[in-house]
Parts: sequence; C-alpha cells; structure tokens
Amino acid sequence: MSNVNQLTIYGVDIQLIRTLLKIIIFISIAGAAISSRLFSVIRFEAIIHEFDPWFNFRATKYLVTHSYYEFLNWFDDRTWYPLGRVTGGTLYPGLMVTSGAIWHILKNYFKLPVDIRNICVLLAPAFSGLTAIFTYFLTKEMKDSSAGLLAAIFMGIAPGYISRSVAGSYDNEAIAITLLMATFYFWIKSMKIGSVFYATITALCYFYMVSAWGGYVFITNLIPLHVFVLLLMGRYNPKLYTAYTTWYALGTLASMQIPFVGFLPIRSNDHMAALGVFGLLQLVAFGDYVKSKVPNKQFKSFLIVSVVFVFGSGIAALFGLTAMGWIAPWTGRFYSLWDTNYAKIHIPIIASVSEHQPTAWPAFFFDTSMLIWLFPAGIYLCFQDLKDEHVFVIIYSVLCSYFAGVMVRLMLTLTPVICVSGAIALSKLFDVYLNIKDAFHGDNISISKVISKLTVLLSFGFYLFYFVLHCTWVTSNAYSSPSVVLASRNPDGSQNLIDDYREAYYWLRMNTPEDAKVMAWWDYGYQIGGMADRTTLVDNNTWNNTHIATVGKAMASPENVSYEILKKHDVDYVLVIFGGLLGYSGDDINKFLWMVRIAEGIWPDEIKERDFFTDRGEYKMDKDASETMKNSLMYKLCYWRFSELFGGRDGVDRVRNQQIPINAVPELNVVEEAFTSENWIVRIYKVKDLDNVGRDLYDATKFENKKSGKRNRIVKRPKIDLRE
Amino acid sequence: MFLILLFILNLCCGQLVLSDNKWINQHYTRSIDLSKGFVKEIDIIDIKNIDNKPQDVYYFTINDGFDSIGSISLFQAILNENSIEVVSEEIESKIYKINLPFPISPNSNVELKFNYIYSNTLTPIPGKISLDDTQQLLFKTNKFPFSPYETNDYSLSFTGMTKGQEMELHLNKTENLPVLEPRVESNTLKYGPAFDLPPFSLQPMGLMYDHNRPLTKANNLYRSIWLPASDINKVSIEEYYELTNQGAQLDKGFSRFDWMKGRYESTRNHWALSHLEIPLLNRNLEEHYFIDKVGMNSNSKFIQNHLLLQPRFPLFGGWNYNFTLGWNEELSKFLHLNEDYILKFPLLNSVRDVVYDNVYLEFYLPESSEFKNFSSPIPYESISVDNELSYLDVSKGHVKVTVHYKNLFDNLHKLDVYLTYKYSKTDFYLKIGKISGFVFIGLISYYLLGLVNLNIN
Repeated sequence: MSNVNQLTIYGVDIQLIRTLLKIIIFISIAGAAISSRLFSVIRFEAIIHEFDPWFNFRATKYLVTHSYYEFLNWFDDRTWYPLGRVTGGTLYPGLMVTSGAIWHILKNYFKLPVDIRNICVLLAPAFSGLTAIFTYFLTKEMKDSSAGLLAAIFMGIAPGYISRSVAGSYDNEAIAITLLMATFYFWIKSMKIGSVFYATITALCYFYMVSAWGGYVFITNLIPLHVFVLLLMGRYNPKLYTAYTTWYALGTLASMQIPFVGFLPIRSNDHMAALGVFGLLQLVAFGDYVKSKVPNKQFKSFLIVSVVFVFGSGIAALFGLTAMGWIAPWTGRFYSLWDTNYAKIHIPIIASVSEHQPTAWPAFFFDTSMLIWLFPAGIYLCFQDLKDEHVFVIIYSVLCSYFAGVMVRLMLTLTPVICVSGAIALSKLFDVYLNIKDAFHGDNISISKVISKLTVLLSFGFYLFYFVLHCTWVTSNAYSSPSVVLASRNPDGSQNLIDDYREAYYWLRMNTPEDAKVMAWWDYGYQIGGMADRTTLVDNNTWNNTHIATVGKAMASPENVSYEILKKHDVDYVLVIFGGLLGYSGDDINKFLWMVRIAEGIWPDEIKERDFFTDRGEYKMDKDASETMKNSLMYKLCYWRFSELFGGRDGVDRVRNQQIPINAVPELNVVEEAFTSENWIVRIYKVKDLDNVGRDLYDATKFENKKSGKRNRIVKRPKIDLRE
Repeated sequence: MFLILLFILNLCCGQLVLSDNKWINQHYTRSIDLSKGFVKEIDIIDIKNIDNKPQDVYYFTINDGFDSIGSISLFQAILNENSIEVVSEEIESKIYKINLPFPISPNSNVELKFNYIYSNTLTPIPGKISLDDTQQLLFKTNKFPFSPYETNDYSLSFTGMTKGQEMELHLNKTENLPVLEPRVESNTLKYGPAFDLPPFSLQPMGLMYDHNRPLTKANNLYRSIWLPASDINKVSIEEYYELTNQGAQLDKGFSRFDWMKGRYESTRNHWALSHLEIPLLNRNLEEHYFIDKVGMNSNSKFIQNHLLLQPRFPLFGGWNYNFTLGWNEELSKFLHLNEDYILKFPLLNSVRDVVYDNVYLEFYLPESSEFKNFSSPIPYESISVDNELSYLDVSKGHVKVTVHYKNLFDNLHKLDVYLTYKYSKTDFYLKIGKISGFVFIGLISYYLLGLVNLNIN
C-alpha cells in the first residue's frame, strides 16, 4: 500500500523533512531573538536596567526569601516613608512568581542553584523566544505557516519589542507580550473551532496576563470588540458564543483572584465592554433562537425594538451605576489615551514620564523598519480575505495604531500586529513571485517574467537583509544601555564606564545607618530601594500624588521652607542627580519643572511655575536665573561648589550650555554635602540636625564659616626665610 | 594635650604565679615596627638561669600592662642561635609559657626571640581631620619591659615612621623607674639603655606619629576554595571581604571638589583608602572578577604584576566597602595526589597592608569526598565540616570545610595550610552516572507522556 501523497527525498518522507526544517528554523529564530537581546550583558554585565525593573527585582528577591503568602501580604515600610506601601496588594505578581518558580525548579529539580539576579536578567530574552513561537501560531491561523515563520522572525528581532525585552529589562512587559500573543492565538483558535478546551486555555493565558501586566485591559477590550464587530457584521454563530462565554466567565473569575485586580472586572468602567458584550451575546443567541422559530418579518420588528431597548437600558445602567459609585470611573491614564492634552492639564505626574509622551513619527520607522510600510499592505490583504480572524487583526491594528501614536510605550503593543500583517503581506508576495513553475510553463521561457520576478525577489531579499541590519543596529545602539551604567568612549576608542549611580547608591548602602531616609525625586526611588537598600519617601509607584508633590515642594522651595518639610519627614539624606559636569541630560534640573508643576498642583499659592523662569520666560541657570530659582533647594544642591571646579572662571553647565557665575555661589545652611560621585552625577547631602545650642541653622552656618575663615588666616602665615 | 584614661590594673593573679625569680633578663631589646596599619614587635631577650637547678620553663608576658593592645595576631618564640621555634602556650591572656627544648643549667644563658603582631591598637589623633591634613596615629605602649623577671639591660626602638612625638600618659606606673630620653639614629627612634629594672615595670607612653596611609581592616573575610571533581586543572577561589578603614574620619562631609583638587586619588600617600594592592608574585589570576552587591566594579587593573582594586569610592575612617573577588588558578600548583589528595594552599590572599578580624577559610571539596585532616601552622578558632548544595550536586552536596581564624594580618599569606581528603574515581563516576541517569529518566518520561492520548473529541 503506497500513499500517493507521500513524497520522498532520498527515501525520507518529505513531511518529516518539513517538520525537521521547521524545528531548525524555530531554534534559529529563538536563538536570534535571544542573542540579539544580550548586547547589554556582553558589553556591560548581567545587571538590572532602568528604574521599574529594580523594584521587580527587589520584589522577586523578597518572594524567594519569603513564602508566597508573606509576599502577597507584604507591607513595605521602606518606601513612601512614613506611609509605607501595601506592596503585595498593589503589584502584578506574575513576573515575580514566574522567575521565582523558575528559580525553585532549577534549584530543586535540576540542581542548578542559579542566582536569582541572573534569572531576572535573562527572563525577558527567554520569553521573547516564546513570543516568536506564539506569533508563528497566530499568523499561521491568519494565513499559512510560511507567513507564520516570517512573522516569528520579525517578532524575534523587531526593535519595537526588543526595546522592552533586552536582557536586564526585567519588567512586566517582558512576559506580558508573550502572554498577549498566546492569548490571542488561543482566542482565534477557540473562536474558529468553537472549542471549550481552547477557550479555557485562552482564559488561563488571560489570567496569567492579568497577573503580569496592567495592560491586560487591552485584551479585556479587544476580544469583546472583536466579537461585537463580528456581531455587527452578522457573523454570529454558536462557535463564537461558546468561545466568548467560556473565556469571559472563566477569565473574569480567574482575574479576580489577583489581589491588585480584585473586584475591578465588575466595577471598573475599563472592564464594562467585556461585560456588555457578554450580555449582548446572550441576547443575540436568544434572538438567533427566536429567529429560527418565528417568520422573518416579525423577527425584524422584534430585533429593532429589542436593540433599542437593550442599548438604551445598557447606557442608562452604565451611567446610573457610575453615578451611584458602583462602577469606578475611568482612570487618568485611560483618559490621556483619548485626549493627549488631558494629562498635561490634569495629571502632571503622568505627563512627566517620557514614555507617556506622544510618539514622534520617526519612531515608527526606527522601531519597525520596513514593516511599517508592509503593515498597511498586510491589512489590505486581510480585507481581501476578511474571515473572522482577519477582522481581529484589523481591529487590533486600528486600535493599536492609534494608541501607539498617543503614547510611546504603546509602540510595544503595536509591534506584534505590525509583524503579523507585515508577514502576511510579504509571504503573499513571495507566494506569487517565488512560484517559478509558471515561468517555465509552456514551451518558451518568458524573459520578462523571469526578470520581473528576479527584480522583486532580489529587492525584497535586500529589504530583508537590510531589516536584519537595521534591527541589530538599533538594538545595539539604542536599546542596550542599562541606563544605570553609562558608557562613553575614551580618546583612544576604548570604553569608559561611568558608574556614578552605583557608586553613590553603594555608598549609601555601606556608610549610612540602615534606617536612614533618603529623599530624592521619585524616578530614583526604586533604584535607591534596590541598590542602596535605604528607605525612600517616594518612588516610581506613583500612588500618592500629594506625597510626591511634597517632595517637589521641598526641592523647589527656599531652604527654610524645605528644612521644615525635611524635618517633618525625618529625612536624613537628600539625593539629587546633576549632569552639568558631564553633559548628562537626564538630570534633576531638567526634570525640575515637573517637580514645580506637581507641587504647584497642590500648593498653588506657594509654588508658582512662572517664578522659576526669567523675566523673558527663559529657563536659565546662569546669572539671569530668577531669584526663586536661585533660592530653591534643588538649584543649591546641584550647583553647590560647582563653579569652583573651573579655576576662578564661571562654571559651564554642559547640559544647558550656561555659565554658572563664580561670584554668586549658592549657600547651604540646612544641609551639608555628604557625598558626590566621581563625575558629579549623584550628589548626596546630609540634613543637618537642629542646632545643639538652639541657634537658627543660618546663624550656625555663618558662625562656622567665620570660624573656618579664621583658621584660613592662621594657615596663611608669613613666609619665614630659611636660616642657615 | 594629655590623654587621661582610667583603668584598673589587674595583674595580681599573674604576678603571684610568675614571679618566682628563677630567671633574669640580661639583655632585653624591643624593636617595634610601625610602618603598617598594625604593630609588629620583636623582643630579643638574653635570659640567664639564676636558680640552682636546671630549668626549661620561661614565662613571657606581652609588653602591655595597661590594656593598650587590642588583639594579638601571631605569637612566635624562637631560639635565636639556631632559629628553632619553641613551643609556647598562652596560659592566660597575654601571658605565654615557653617550654625550652632543653633545660638550661644554672648560670647559663640562652637568647630568645619573640615575634608578635598586634592589631586594633592604633588610634588616629585627632579622630576627625580634613582631606588635606596628615593623619596622625597614637600608639600606646609600655615604655619598659613588662616581664615577670628582673631586667639588667633594656633598650627600645621604633622604626617605620617619619615624624613622631612622645606623649606622656598619666596612668598608673611603677615608681622609681629611670628616665629614658629618646634619640634618633638612622630613621629609628631609640630609648635606652636602662639598667636594673624590677619585674613588671610599667610606664605607659604614647607615641604620636605621622602615618598617612589608611588603616585597612577586613572585619570578615570569607575565602572559599572550590576544588573540582574532574581532572580539570583549575581551582576557583572566591573571596568576600567586608572592608573598613580604621583611620581618621572626615571632619565634615566628603567633598568631591576637594578630593579632585588635591589629586589624592593618584597618590599612594593619603590616608583615604582608594586602592587595594595585591602583589601577585608568581601567580596568575585567570578570569578574575571584582564585584560587589550592586554588580560589577570595573575599576580593577593589572599593573606591573600587581592587581589594583579600586573601591567604588575612597574609604575614609569608619567607611565600609564590601566586595567579592574571584579568580581561577592552576590546580596542579596546590594539589598533590598521594594515596589521598593533599592540598597545600596559602592561608590568605596577598593584599597589602591589611589586618583581618575574622577569616573563614572555606574549602569546597567535591561531592561525596571524605575530609581527612587539616593542619595549619598557626592556631585557629574552630573547624567545621558540613555540606552545601551547588551546581549538579545530586546527593548531599559539596563537602564544605570551614576553618575560622581570628586576628590575621597581610604577611601571613606566606603561610600555607594543608588539607587532606579522599576522593575516588568511583565517586566521580557514580556522580556522572547519577546525573546522566536523571537526564535519561527525564527524556524517557517525556517520551512516555507523549504516548498518552489527551485528545478530546
């Protein structure tokens, strides 16, 4: 019995070869995805990057040294002093639990006691390999496996995704994108075949996603929207009903198990769409049933009446419940998605984060290269086919294109769909042009056909090649810096590491009392907690705007006002970031206006943004700087003794290109310098205690200065000639 | 400015036991080296038996008498003529019983040499100084020999300092002692000779001298040596230091500007600890790493056969810096296979000018090897054997032998300790067999799970 379809090459089944090749391709894709994310490890070291990852890392360490329940009940008294933070209840535990589980499995079952830090650092690259594989499956559902493979490789190396998943960026997004792709794949699968099994897996993936990232709301809204659009298109079928209701019921119940989410899925407006569609689907199913039982004409009137009634009562219920406070209104971050100016006016703290800024146009090309122009083509092809799953891709792409335009960080959710539809377009193109059979069809070979095919194939071959180059270049240059360590080049081309952050944080850790309270702007809260292991006033979990504004006020006020705040909050050390010496632009003076604005939001009478500008409205630090600016604690802390470095001339602030006058040196009365890092990036000041003879600190400092002046005079003894 | 300290001299007990006047110290020469962050004292004593029968026990007391010495690191007694080390035992704190190798007949002489090192003795005066000041240390000692026997002829000398000043300490002292005037001879501060001193002569003195080097101290050093199970010719050493500077503190906060202006980082003669020097002598550190609790410290370099480690920040008095230094070395230099394995390993790394309070020497022997014996040229506090699970340890884990030493100092890196253990080829193959067995079981179970039909139709 020989199977006709079973082709063989050298006696090996062609299907087997195909599978084998596929596995090899998968391994290579995963290899490429992982290895291109290792630039930072090779260039620097296995270190946690940026800001938020330091918190995740610290939480993970807490998890592996405590029990899971202790972790969930973790009240952290080392942040948000003196308030503390209910950390266990205000975080998404998925990431920590994942790496904690990996750590335990490796240690207990594989006898590999790997350092938890290494697991945290390498988690994102490892998951990116999985993302590529899930993208393959998702795209395969859209077109075929060759499109899937293309999508997988695109996903593996697209900079838009790499930016959030290089080794060391141990953030929620690191695993969330994998879960996003997995959830979507299983959703499409379950919707296509109406399988409860796949819908359950979708719900499980969704649960995992909820536990890992706040962006799960995107899924919570996208899947209902997909269903809703399908309903509008009149594509209701029992399979859709099975898939959606299973997913919704299980997924919602599961998601409520996460302490941070709790009852949000039934109380918050962000989740109402899913509930609404769930209800709608019941009605449609009922209508479908009615339709099969009653004649067509009657059904139409039934439909119109019921649609109007349901829609009206739905909206009314939504408004009513929100007004009564049963449903939480939308959050600020959500509003800022629709109105880009919303945050700027109402919530400066959201606007102050650079990743919440609108995306600049070049960023699209930078992050996705040629895929950005293949993307519309892919969407067009989806319209051509327009099966249920294609509708999903279309909705996804429309929504995410908008979101990515609003917020830089949402480039991340757009990248997968760009990869998918880019792959669809490219594989369609290859389907047509790689088909060399018809060129040899007939008796004579058509030269023009061969040439046109060759041109297209060669040019796209070049594009693909260029794509890889571009991605590697972007990854290596833009996304592989840990931002904790800065790299610069020596004149001879060798690498010079600027390690000021760790220098100062380690100094804090080694040489200050264990319960010292450090005040710094919230950006550095997580890093101080993670590296310096000291108590902070505010950190990147910006849950209390007033507290942040207090810190902003302390920084923006004159010394006597600040001192009161510092003393009230038991602050021992004040830490500022100053880039003026080195030309490091991400420093506190450049963030200062946000501190002022946030403080102004709470104390509009005391802090006024206008006062920090010169009369001509310029933001200046030089001799023209406004009095308010010069008197602010931040200015003083940053420029304290800075001009002296320049040997009698005015100091040059290399970030702002301004001259800091030598003759108007800021005076410090209530704090004293405790430590300044090698390149002056981090400056730490110790808050003086109340004077022990009851003087005003201003008088005390004046007295001290006078005393040291006297000592200086003693040092200047007249020169005595040598006596022979 | 005089220091007035109150203390209680409690030596009645010691005096009762020791002063039986069977010996007389004919010549007693003390030389004290102050060039490092600890004190090195060499006493050469010519003793004479004045009893009427031969005797072989001599009691030596450390020249202290008023609790000025923090902790004694190494005590050695040597017969001077043929450099034989003499058995000594500490019968009480700072009192040693010397068992001479042969009895000394009445009226005969023998010359003994005592070497000892003490740490935690020097204090910076003033305790807080500014960056451009010179650090001064106060060394408190007994100006006279604190011996249970009479001394005929005594002299004292100090080396290893450039500028010094004697200070009188108003503390309890023995009456009617001769006045010793200092003089300087070839960079040495000398006192004496003084003649006919009674037993337990005590006159506390302070010597304030310039010492513009940091007083580096490692509160704890965990020195772990990982011995491989296979034939690979590599031994991994990892050392975790908890370092501190015992020198003068800064009088105010650390000003980077002053530090840069004075260019103190590039000089060796500053009291802030900005570099650690590790002379490598004939060693080759492969794949070394220098990390601390926040990651890699990139400031380490090899210069002229020295490894220079630069802490993240300069350490002033009272500042701490914890770090880990690790590297590989060729195992064949240390390990010898006789019937058992014999490991000969330096007690310490050769960091220059440092004292150690606690040193934990940790040997990680291959899994399921058998620890036999440990021998050390100097006494240790304790030794313990337990297990620690490490990579691919499938049974009880590496055998970890921890030896705890106290009060060591840099020069002891010249000493070797010896450790013998037994590790057979069978143990090795058993381990490999176990590991491959587990991998095999894992793969087989994966295959078997694949056979289970989970299809839902």
